[in-house]
Amino acid sequence: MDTILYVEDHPPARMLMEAIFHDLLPQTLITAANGEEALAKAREQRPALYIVDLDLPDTDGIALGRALREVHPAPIILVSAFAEAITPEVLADVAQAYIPKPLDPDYVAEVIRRTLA
Amino acid sequence: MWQKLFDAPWPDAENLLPMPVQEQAAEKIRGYWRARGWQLVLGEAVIWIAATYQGVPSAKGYGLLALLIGVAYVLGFLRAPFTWLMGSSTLFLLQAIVVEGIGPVTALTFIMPYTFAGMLLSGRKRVVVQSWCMVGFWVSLIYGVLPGVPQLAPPNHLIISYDILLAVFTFQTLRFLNHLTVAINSAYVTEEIRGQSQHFLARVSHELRTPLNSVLGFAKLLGHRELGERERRYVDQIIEEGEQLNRLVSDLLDSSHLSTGNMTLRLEACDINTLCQAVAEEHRPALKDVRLNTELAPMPPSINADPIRLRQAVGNLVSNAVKYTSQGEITLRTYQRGQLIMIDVRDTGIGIPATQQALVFLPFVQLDDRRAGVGLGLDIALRIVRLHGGDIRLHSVPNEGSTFTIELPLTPHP
Repeated sequence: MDTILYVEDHPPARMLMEAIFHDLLPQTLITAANGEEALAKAREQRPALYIVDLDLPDTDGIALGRALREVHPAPIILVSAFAEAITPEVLADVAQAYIPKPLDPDYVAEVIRRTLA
Repeated sequence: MWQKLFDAPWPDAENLLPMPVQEQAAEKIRGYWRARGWQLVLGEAVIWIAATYQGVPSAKGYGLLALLIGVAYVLGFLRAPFTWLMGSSTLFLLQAIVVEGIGPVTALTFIMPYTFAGMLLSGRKRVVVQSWCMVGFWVSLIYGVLPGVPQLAPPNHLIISYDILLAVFTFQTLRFLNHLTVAINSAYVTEEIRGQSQHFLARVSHELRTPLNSVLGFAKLLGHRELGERERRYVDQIIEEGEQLNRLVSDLLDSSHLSTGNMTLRLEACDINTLCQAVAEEHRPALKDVRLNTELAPMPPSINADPIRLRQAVGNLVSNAVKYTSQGEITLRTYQRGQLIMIDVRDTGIGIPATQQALVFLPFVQLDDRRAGVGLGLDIALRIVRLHGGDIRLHSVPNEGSTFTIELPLTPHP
């Protein structure tokens, strides 16, 4: 089964994504709290998909997205509470999809299925 | 999260009025008095030359002294209206008594307006000052030509008249300048406060969405599970209120971005009738005692607009109508007038008194604060429409209803 890496510094948000996967999706979710950890896990586990929060302590989601693609290429979904910060150009450049916070579990599941299809 | 929240820069007094503005204002005022000084120098020089030509020694003396005062203003030694007027009047009094040999009482009547003006100007009664000066001007002019009154030498009453006129002019300019400075300052301060509070707002909005992520996310996951009827009601309530809070956060951010000019439109071909139809469909399910009609006239196939934002604007007007209409109907009507596309949102609601119609578009204004929301909907709608080069007009009669009309320029998509 596919592994999906979620990069998010906020523990409750990681918990929610784990719950969404537990309840709605068959894939295995691994998480990272910052860019460094994310790059290490991407190298080791070679995930099928990255879900990256835009606002991270040591980097931002866009730069991290580019770095992750270098380490192990896979589609990227950006997540952010700042819907306003993401322009279509940025999205087209680094990510396949964008999910605004607050996360809607059904929408998250749908976007992940679509991106992996 | 809380630490982040408190780290956000709070608009404080120090940031509101940066020193450069105060210095700019001070420089303006210095410049103003320098200009008045030059005026005095030139004006008094004219009088001095006239007095010399007519052979009036006292006027010559007075003119010379006034000239020196003018120079003092130009060099920046003097800069207050009080010293200006008191200085001039004291000089005049001295020269009238000492040089001219006029009795102190008579001389006083001539400088009365001056003295009063100087005294009052140090307070705040500028209108009184002006009236006094005007009275003084006419009194001295008439007094100067009346027969049988102990006269000053001919040019002297002109000196007074001239100086009083100058004083009136000075007050008026000063008043104007004062207004200007206040206007510039307050505009600057408003922008500063706005900039600060928008930044703050963006931070707070982000911090509000973070816990909402958990509240709404887990509640929705819970909603997927098998629940008793009562539990289902609880969960639905959490989701509904959470969504409401989320909409509020989005509105705050939109309002913030619109007012700082940080919102850019993504223009594309946009069909107004389809858009209005969608807005109507979106609102119909929530209506109980009110009908929502659409009267959509044939339109050009599309205009150049941001469909998401425009839909938000029309949607906000319809939401507003729904909020204030308890019975009757709401009509969403489109039509073309010349080079304008018009969208009417007409309701049979409580209406808006004429005195308050200008207020409803201001952010955070609600005429009836028992209604839901914080009063950003119309502000956002107006700003979006204006960003499209259009406008919103309001026609309303209390207890009969309101019609909000969006006017959009008919710009075809390139």
